[in-house]
Amino acid sequence: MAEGHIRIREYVDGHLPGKAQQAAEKHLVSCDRCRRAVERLQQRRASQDGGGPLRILSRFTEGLMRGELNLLAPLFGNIRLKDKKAAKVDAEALPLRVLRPRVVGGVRKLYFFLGRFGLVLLMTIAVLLLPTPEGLSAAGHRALAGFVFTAGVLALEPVSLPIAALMVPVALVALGVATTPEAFATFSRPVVFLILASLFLAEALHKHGLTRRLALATIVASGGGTGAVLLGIMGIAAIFSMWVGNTATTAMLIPVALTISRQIDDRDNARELLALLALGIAYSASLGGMGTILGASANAVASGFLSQVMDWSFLDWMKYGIPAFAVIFPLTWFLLLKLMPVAVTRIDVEPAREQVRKMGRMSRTEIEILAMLAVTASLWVGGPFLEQLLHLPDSLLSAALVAVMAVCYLAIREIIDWEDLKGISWGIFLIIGAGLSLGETLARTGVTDWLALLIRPLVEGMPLALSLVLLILISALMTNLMNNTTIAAVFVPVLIAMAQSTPDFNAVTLVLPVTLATTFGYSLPSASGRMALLASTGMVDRGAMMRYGLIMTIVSSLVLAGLFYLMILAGFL
Amino acid sequence: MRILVIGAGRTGAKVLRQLQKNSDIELIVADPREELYAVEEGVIEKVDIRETLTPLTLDKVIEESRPDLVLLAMATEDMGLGRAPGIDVLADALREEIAALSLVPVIEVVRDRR
Repeated sequence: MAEGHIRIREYVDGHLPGKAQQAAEKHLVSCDRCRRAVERLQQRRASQDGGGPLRILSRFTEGLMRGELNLLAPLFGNIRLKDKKAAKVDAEALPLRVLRPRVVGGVRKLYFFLGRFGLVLLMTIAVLLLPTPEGLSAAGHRALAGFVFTAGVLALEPVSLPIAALMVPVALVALGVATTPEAFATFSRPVVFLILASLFLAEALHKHGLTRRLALATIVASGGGTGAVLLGIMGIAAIFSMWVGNTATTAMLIPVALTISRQIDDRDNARELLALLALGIAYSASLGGMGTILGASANAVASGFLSQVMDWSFLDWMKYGIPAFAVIFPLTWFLLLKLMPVAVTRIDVEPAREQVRKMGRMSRTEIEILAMLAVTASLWVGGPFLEQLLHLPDSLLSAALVAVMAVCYLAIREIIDWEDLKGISWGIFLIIGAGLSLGETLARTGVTDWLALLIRPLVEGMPLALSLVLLILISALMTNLMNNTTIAAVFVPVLIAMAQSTPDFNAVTLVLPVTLATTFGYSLPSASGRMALLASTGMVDRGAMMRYGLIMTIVSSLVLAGLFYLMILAGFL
Repeated sequence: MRILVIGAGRTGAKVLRQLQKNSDIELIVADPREELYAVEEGVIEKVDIRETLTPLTLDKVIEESRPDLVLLAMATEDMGLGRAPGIDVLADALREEIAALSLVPVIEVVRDRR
């Protein structure tokens, strides 16, 4: 263990007291590490000092022209005539910095809350004060105000999202469009427990380091080509996101992206690579969510509504979700590589291999978790068939109950315990419940029928392909501004109402593409938890997020529309 | 013994107070924030390293501080990353990644407040 090393910065700056300075000098004679560190810091400091008078004058003029300095700056001594080139050299010596804290507090925080919540209230009151639209009842008018309140509070988030979701039943009851039992009934739907259980399963993966192990193993297996590494990490993100929470998956994989990028010495190259990997993880976590009901809360909400009007199972969703994923996932990977070319073509996979080696062989617990996940996924898909085959009690193998049984199994085997589960994002429970509550209120008060009449021109008398493109694009672009659960909660009942009154369509033809399109919220932090997470880490520049996100959204939407159009033509829908 | 304490918030201050009982321990404190509880409370005068510890900055921070042990004493809330969903999971995963990568022993003395 190293002992008696000196404080480099204080020594170089001459801040050590006399005796300590002498002791430090003695120590430097015998300690290579400290001597090298002192030399490096001294060089760095020297490079920051100004040059001769001409050079200082030139930099001062440059500063004036760039507007960074004024003529009086030298008089006040606040002129920092830092050598631009030296500063660049210095900056290059520093590592890439992400995850830097933001400062929001005090009065600004209060203003932030009042400003946003005030705006939501103002919009709600404005809708209430408008004359009742033709064809809408008085209750429907108030429910419409409830919709505006919900959309506002979930989009602007004056408080954190789960608390905002809790405001929804309060608003619906206060507006007189739901009773308290009606407003809260949706919070206990099976689909809510399905999503909740998937978060518990994510916690088991996280707790035992399985996600990291598999991600690192995939990187090693990729061989180190940038495209292959990206594909590997995107694949892991997508596969996990199909079965467990996609924001949690993104959060677990971001540190792995940081580990890959740290091998790149050049800061700019490292930043490019990190942005590419981070966006790849976030996009693919969203795309993986398309595959199953529990992949996204919008899927859960849409399934909740569909199961009320038709037989709708876990497998039914996968029949459409998986092909959509299979087409759009490779396209996204390809587009990302084209849109964000990186200078690094090869990444050394040895450090990742070393990490995998350090983790040792897969433990029995990890194997058990993987086996349990495989069994659970099989039961999610084949549960209804088994139920019939074995004459089991009705809905014993429904998706929600299977998920809850899996969680019970993990707890009985002491793989997870209650303490672990305390840390999961319980808020999703409130967000889905609130989304369903709003949707049902809109349906009960006739708002969905009224909205269906407004949207009908988009699907009637227009070529099918164009209708699909329009509906999908509207949904995909809206999801950048609004929570996708809200979009599903509002539009799914409307689309179901419209499908029921339009012979050319069935509910699935409209609901599935519109709900799946809520996956494509890539442009703004408000689009999804994944994008909010990326924005808060500072790994991806906001401009780049918007630029690439918009391209991805539009291309993915068009491809999704094309896919569903083909499925309809082929009689698959 | 040189110990690098990551975090000078409430938890960091608690850890520092305990470690200061042993004068043989040389303490180095890293925290990227401007307003620090440990400084306001007079536990330390200033932080030595203003840096966020990530896998990208790990080598530099270790090189600069040359600790024998690193204590991660920064709660998720203190990271100041806002309240994006999944921040808790990210912070946890980040701490685990740092612990796995570091050649110096790293011990977590705080997890997210639950």
